[in-house]
Amino acid sequence: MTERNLHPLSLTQYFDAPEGYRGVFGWICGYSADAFFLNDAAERFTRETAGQRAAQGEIKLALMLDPGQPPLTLVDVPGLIHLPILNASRQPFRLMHAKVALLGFRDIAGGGRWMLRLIVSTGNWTRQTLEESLDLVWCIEVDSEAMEDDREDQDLELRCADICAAWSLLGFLHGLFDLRVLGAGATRIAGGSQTAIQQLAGWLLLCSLRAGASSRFLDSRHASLLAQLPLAIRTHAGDTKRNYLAMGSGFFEGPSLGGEPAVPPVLERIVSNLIREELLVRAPSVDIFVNPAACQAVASALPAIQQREGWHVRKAAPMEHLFRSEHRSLHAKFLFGSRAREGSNNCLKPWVYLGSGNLTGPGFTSAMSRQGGNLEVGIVFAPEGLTWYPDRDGDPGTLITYRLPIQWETQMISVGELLPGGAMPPAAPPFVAPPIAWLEWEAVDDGGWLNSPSSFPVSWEVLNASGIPCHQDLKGFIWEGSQPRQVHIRWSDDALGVQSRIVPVMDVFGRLAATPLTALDFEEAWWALAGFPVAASETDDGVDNDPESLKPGTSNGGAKGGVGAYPVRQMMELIERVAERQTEVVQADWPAWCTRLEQTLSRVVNSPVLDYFRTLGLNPLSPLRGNAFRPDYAEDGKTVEGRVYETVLAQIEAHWQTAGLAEIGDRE
Amino acid sequence: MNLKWGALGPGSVESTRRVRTLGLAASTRQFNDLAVPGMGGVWFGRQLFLSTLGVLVAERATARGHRATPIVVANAIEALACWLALKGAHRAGDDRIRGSVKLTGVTLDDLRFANVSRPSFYVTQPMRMATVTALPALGLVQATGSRFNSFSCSDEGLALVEAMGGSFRPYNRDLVEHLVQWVLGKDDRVYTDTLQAALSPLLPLPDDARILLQEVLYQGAPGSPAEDRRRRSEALNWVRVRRLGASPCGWDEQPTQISDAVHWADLRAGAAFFMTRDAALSVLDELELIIGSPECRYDLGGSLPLGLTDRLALLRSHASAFLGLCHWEEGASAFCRDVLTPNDDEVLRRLVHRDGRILREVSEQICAGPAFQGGEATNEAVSPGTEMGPPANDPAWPRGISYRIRNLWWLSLDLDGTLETWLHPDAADATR
Repeated sequence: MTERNLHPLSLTQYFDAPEGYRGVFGWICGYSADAFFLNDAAERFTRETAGQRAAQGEIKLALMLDPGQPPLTLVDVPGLIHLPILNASRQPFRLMHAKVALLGFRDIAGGGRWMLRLIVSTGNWTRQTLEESLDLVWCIEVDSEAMEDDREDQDLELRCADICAAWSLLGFLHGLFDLRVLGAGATRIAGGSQTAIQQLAGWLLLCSLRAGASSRFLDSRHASLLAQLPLAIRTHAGDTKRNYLAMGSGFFEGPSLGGEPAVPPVLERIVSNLIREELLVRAPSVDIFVNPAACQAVASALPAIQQREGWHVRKAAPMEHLFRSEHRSLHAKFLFGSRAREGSNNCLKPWVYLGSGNLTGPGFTSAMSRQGGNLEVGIVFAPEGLTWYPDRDGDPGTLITYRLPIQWETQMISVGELLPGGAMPPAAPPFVAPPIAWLEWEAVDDGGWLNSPSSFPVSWEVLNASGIPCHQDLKGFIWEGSQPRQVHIRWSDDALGVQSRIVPVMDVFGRLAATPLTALDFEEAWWALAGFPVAASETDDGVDNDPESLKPGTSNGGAKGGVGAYPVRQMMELIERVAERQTEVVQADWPAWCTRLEQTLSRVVNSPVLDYFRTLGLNPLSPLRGNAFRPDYAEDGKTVEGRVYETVLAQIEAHWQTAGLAEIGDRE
Repeated sequence: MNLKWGALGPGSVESTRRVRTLGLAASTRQFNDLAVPGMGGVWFGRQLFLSTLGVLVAERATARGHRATPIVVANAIEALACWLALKGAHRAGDDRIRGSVKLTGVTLDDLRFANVSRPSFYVTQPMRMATVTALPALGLVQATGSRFNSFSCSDEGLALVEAMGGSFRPYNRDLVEHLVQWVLGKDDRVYTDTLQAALSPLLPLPDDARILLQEVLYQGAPGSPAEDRRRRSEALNWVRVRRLGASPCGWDEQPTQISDAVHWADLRAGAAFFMTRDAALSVLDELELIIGSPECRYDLGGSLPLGLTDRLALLRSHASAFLGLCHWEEGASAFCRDVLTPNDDEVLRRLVHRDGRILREVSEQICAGPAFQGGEATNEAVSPGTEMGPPANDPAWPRGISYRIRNLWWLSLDLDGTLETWLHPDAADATR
């Protein structure tokens, strides 16, 4: 990532794979999210369009939200699974509010290089963050090249520690959310998403070996953010009494009931704690930055705040350099402390807190608990090279007002300028784990069976497209019609009553909620393989952008493609190209290549070219078993890679009905 | 830079994902194909040129060992063409340029092919997609399947590229060769006047290209059905006589240029179907507005708000009109029978079920789906097929007629060299 001073990235741009890399797997937690945002983020992370991701049916991102958020399905956001909470009545937090993404990337060329990116945002993973709110972000990266350098590097140790702290929080969440679906397909060749998850975990392990003792990443699992703030400031920004403090938040405490409105206690406590810890002078200059249209208790407390010497309530800066005249509402949560000295334009000994925690009781001064505190995340760090006002050199990148929505030109004077704003919307019923996490499909002529590999000991049923329970026999639920990408299931929960949920369906290739694979002709099959490891273009090209045009059976090519004048040559060309391509595949990509090979070649099954070979009694795949056509590490059945490959060839031959036919060149 | 922090920059999400197909995409395509066969969503000539050029450049780059697919190459060339057009004189909101949001902020350093070909660089629905059915139907490419990646450039396609770009020599190279070098990563210089003049979607077609494209429209691909050719040619002849001051035309008067009564009947039934579909979309839009915000729900079983009663009545009247025409298209007929169910709640339920993206039903309540915008939905959700279309201020057509007729009308202006004047009449006045 290169810094573009005048064009700060939008939150989805933080998901962009670095050039030459692609996303392997990422964990995201947050309060809320929507499909608009996530599809854009997933596209940037994987470098694959929604159509391509839907055709692959692989999970690349796992999302854990507050249980009160409505579920998102794999059809809504292909490649991303929204995990339900295991037990809503025993959730250990009031709200799940932490907004963190930990992303793993690997280089496309296959040189084994990798990169981890940690994003902490004050904004939710929603369209609103992109288009309407004013939010902040903090982001670091660690890559394999830095790790290979043995020299002491304190910044690397710090970044590794931050990533480990975030990983510890995500690990804690893994215990609360239902991860079963991530194990779907684990027994298959490419190992489903497990392979990617383990790869990411491996890099995190390497990170932990270089991690220093302290991290900038705080969470509220064991103590409130406020309780951890002084030590964090001391550790990262040094032990000085600052004389300036800015406090901004998208939400403040609710107005107190009865009596004369006083300074909101959370703001009071932040200031008094910092003074007590000797990180702030006794009479500091304090600015409170608000969204005037919704600033809760601050609205009525304005007179009380104004009585404090040096305290001001100010409107969040519109940050015109970013948003021009467009109005944005403050959603960011931040603190900024520094020393200002007469005659110096530099912010001295500055520190910044930014994170999910609003300057409220549940957000900032309480540890996580069922009724009291949210699960929050904050970053406390020491920014470098900041100035108060534009320098003569005029680099806006150093300006504090460029980084944070603060300004000193105007202040709020009368109570009439401020409004408390509306209340939080009531929480929706929790998104809890269904008895099963996915269903497996077994096809028959006009439909198929839906089966679950594992289930909680609760009875449940599959609903058909009209909402009526499907019949069940010994093989599973009977589904009429073509394979669904996902289905509704219904069960009765002791605490919550009758529940219904959409669960993804896994097809015979191990793809989850994937779009149907259409027949391919030879040329198309080659293109689907040629671009590997980049995903093949699939529904991207649906005629008139029409998903229905890709129904199986309504072949877009395949059988229609016809048999050329030289079917043997057509086939052998494909085989030669496959051989040539696969000898270049790097070892780490081999399972994925095998999956791609099986999915692609199985789809030319209707081709008349294959009919021709069957008539001749020849198995066209036989040359691919030869050593010369395989990479060294999969040359024969002695390696795992070799065995995996041979299994795949056997599966394609079964599809093609060419198993057991004569090998090419074997006739004499 | 190991650490980044500060205010988040603005972003936006494409709104085209709010497409409601209502499970009617196949019927929609069918009726459009009956109206003007083999045109896809094309409405001006340079769309065909840029896609054909993409196929050709991909082919040549592949011959030299590059692995980018025709889709990736064609998308990148289109993105470059739009970027170049945005760099030059243009009007905000000209429909011939896509990606004006995503391409802002793109600098010269970002124009390497490796970067331009990333999916997120440009819009997810490039104009190329509008040409996928048209290129093979018009014979500009040879296709072993119906997917763009299986296309290879035909002699006609080569002739089109030559007619459009033959006179341009960026860095003293042939246009195609220069773009091949770009794809291969050997030459990143693409911001030049020559390339802008060759690629910008905003420029009129050269004379040779206009003649060639017209011929291509009349003749179609070798071996393509005579019926398709006749329908397309007659439709072209019809739209060409409907220029400034053309009197409005109704369904009762079959134009002389359309010789076949069956073609006219197909156009008419298609129109009745499109009006039914649009009426259904307006019911769902109203429902979305009533629900308003994602936390709210609409209870089935209560009394219907006025806005919904009216819209349902209109929907039913269009559906009856369609069924009255006794057309054979089964998907459309099933849909019309579906909405003629007397129970209003049941109709709402069926429509929501067909939608599923913007609204969803959860146990007797209708609630927000993943693409919900509620009261913030300023624009109605687009119906499929029209989102790539041209502006709609064209002469009065019979109600509800396939958007491909209007597209063909715009294309005919392009063929006659008057597209710019029609798109921007005020600008033309000003320069006169």
